[in-house]
Amino acid sequence: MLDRLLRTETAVATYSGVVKRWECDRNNHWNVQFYVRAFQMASEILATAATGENPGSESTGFRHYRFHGELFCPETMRVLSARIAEGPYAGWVLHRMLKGKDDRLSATAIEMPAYPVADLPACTAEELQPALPRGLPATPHELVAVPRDPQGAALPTAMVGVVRPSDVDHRNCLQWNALASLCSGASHSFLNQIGLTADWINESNCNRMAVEMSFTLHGGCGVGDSLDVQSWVSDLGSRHFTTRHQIVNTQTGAPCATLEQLLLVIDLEKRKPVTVPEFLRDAARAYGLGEPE
Amino acid sequence: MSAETVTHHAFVPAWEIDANDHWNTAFYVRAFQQASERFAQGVPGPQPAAPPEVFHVRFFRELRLLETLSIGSVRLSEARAPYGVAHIIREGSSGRVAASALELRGDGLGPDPQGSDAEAYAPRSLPPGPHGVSDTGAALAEGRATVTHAGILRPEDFDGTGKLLMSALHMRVSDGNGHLWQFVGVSSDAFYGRGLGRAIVELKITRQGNAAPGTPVRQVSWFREIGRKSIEIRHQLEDLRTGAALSSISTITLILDMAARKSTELPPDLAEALRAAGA
Repeated sequence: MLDRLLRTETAVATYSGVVKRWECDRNNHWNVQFYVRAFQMASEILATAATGENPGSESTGFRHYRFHGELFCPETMRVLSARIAEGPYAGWVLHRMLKGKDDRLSATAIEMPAYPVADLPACTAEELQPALPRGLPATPHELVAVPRDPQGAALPTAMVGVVRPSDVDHRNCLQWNALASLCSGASHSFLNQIGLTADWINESNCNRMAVEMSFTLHGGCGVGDSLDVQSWVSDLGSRHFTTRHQIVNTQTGAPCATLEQLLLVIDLEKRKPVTVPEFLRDAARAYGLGEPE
Repeated sequence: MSAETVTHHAFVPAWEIDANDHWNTAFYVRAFQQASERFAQGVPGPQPAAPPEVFHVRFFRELRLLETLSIGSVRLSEARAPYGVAHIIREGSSGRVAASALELRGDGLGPDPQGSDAEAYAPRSLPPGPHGVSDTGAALAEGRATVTHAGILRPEDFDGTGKLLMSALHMRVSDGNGHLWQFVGVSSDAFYGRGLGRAIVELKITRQGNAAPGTPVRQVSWFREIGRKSIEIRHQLEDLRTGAALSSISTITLILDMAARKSTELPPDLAEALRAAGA
């Protein structure tokens, strides 16, 4: 089946498309859920080729992403996929999203495949290098107890909605891009709570930017289920902070997915990261990183 | 003579606009399919939600943000055979015709002696009737075509009876067009950067087969005819597992001088690049 796709010596072109205007953010960038969709379609093509059946969203249970260059409307992009042959991620799959006529690197993902990969070409070390985890470990998330605030109260939960038929794949499993979209709502809500408000963005001319992200799919929901997202700050550095989002089935409490994203605070004029502001440090301590000092 | 029946109303929302501020052609196709299914409800006899087998579309006027539109549908005479019904999109504000689609119907509703000749909407550059299936394997091997899209068909690409939506088939053209131009070495910058534009003026979609949600697909695309001021592009969507064709799409694209907002000749170097790729 993969013979019907374009190939290079070290990869198969498993997705290609264009950035459509209705898939862009207000800043004309391709919304993150569509990167997630493209990588997931690439994954399902590999899984179908290897097994003869498309397992849908369950082609992988864990994927780690890095973002290198934004995609703007109406840029073209394609995904090249390969087997990782050596190192700690041997047996995993590398997806590289390349944009435009020059194949500039836009994003990467490595996934733990739920399908055989022996027939895939192996990537080179140079191709893998930009995809390697930097600030977020590439390890499937375990469910953890949600931290409490300094007064011992539960952190707020975002009620992100009910799973619709259009959110699931052909096997009634939540699509990865739908998951990303739901998490996006929760993430915006949480960041607003910790002070990254629209007013602050306008006044400071700074904004956050996700540069690394990891997703674990636990299952646990289908059409008609209501979902809640528990969010907290899970790590804090001088120029980055990490948020963690645990998606659970409202009715059953079953875990559905976990997302972590590593964010930089960017000076929008200089397009460079700045030190994480003090108010965010205080908020991080109140929202997940223990007692305020 | 048959009279037109109103079969669809819609408007152009902000989230369906292209990079050039126009309603994307996939949404015209979606509107035509809505009209087709609504029209079936008014036809005596069995009323299957019959998806169109062929849409032969012509574009006359771009629909822009917030414009309203309605579709009038009418039976066709033998003059438009094999097509049985025409659907005509009119601007709500002016009543001017924006686009038309002649339809070869899945329910077998053919020409009607009392039907309209619909002369104004007759095929112009593409022959009437369904496309044949192309041997894309040979075209790829000879370097005359390339794979312009790979992806997965999702549940939302299908109607309530499990048939692929025409708009879902056509959406892959949006995904693939830029890749086809890159394949022949003509980048967006090389084209738009010299003040040129492109507009689809005629389009034919032929349904070749069906598939199920979750099916992996590829689209193979190639330049077919290079005219003085227009080009024909072909796209064939295929089941990636079996190679079976799911749809064939032809587009006639007019070359525009964006400053003058008029059609213009394809510059010789670009025409040469397209011909070198086997067009």
